[in-house]
Amino acid sequence: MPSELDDILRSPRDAPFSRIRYVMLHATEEQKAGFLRELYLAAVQAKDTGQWDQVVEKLEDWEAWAMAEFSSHAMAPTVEGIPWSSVSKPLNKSRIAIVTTGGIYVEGQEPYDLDKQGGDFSFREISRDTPINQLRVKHRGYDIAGPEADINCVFPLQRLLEMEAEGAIGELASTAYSFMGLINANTNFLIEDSAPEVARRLRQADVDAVFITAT
Amino acid sequence: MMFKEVEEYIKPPRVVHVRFPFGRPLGEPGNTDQQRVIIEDSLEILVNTTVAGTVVELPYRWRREDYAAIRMRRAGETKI
Repeated sequence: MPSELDDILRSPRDAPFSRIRYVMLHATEEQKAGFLRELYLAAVQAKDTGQWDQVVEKLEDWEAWAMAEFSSHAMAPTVEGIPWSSVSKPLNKSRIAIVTTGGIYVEGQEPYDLDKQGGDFSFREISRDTPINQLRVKHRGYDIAGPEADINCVFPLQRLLEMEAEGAIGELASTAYSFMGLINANTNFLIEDSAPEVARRLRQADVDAVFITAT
Repeated sequence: MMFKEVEEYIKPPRVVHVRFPFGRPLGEPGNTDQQRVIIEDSLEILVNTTVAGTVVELPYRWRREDYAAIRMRRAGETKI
């Protein structure tokens, strides 16, 4: 009987399932059954009332529950204090750099190492002048079909160039930085080595603010 | 960011949270309006946040919003 529930809840890795699939991971048999029952009731009611939003909301509630459950089982580095620097210039005078953990790199650069023990903590420099069709994605932690179809849904190069042209931001920095965020045992190398190096380069480039995207 | 519990333990100074599918933090592929709304909101939060550790959850419901209309409305507001 329990294995049948798991069969129902088995889901592909693609984006629509990216959160809800975690229900599978930590829910008890009873919770899995409760999830399916609630969804069934919401769907039948929606068929009658036309209020399909309540099905979506039911799914989103369970997604939030599943993510919280997942993270309570995850290992996390201890971070003391919250860093702070205040904004000193208006946006339309600021130089803004993109940093992402989405596993973006440029054709010709060495791709991230998906098999590296503990996670690949290296980073790639990406020039703002890189042609869009030269950008690549490598990441095991999420469905990369999104950025493969349109890099801007993870790495907003074209959007920020547009905003620069419109005068909404002062300037997009000449270099963006990407990591591949799937770093587990190697977070100490990230914290002590590659992340401070990127921060140093950003400071050297007189960047006023960093737009970080996580995937 | 995408993952509330991770935001809590890595403690960035300013966080914008979206309830979007993983791998699409700024919106759907090809949806320029959606991407712009998220980016503009985020930059607004960058400038206006005064307390370290602020987390702002954006209200947008993935595909169930008219992002073009939101941008049109904003363009109208700034003209006045």
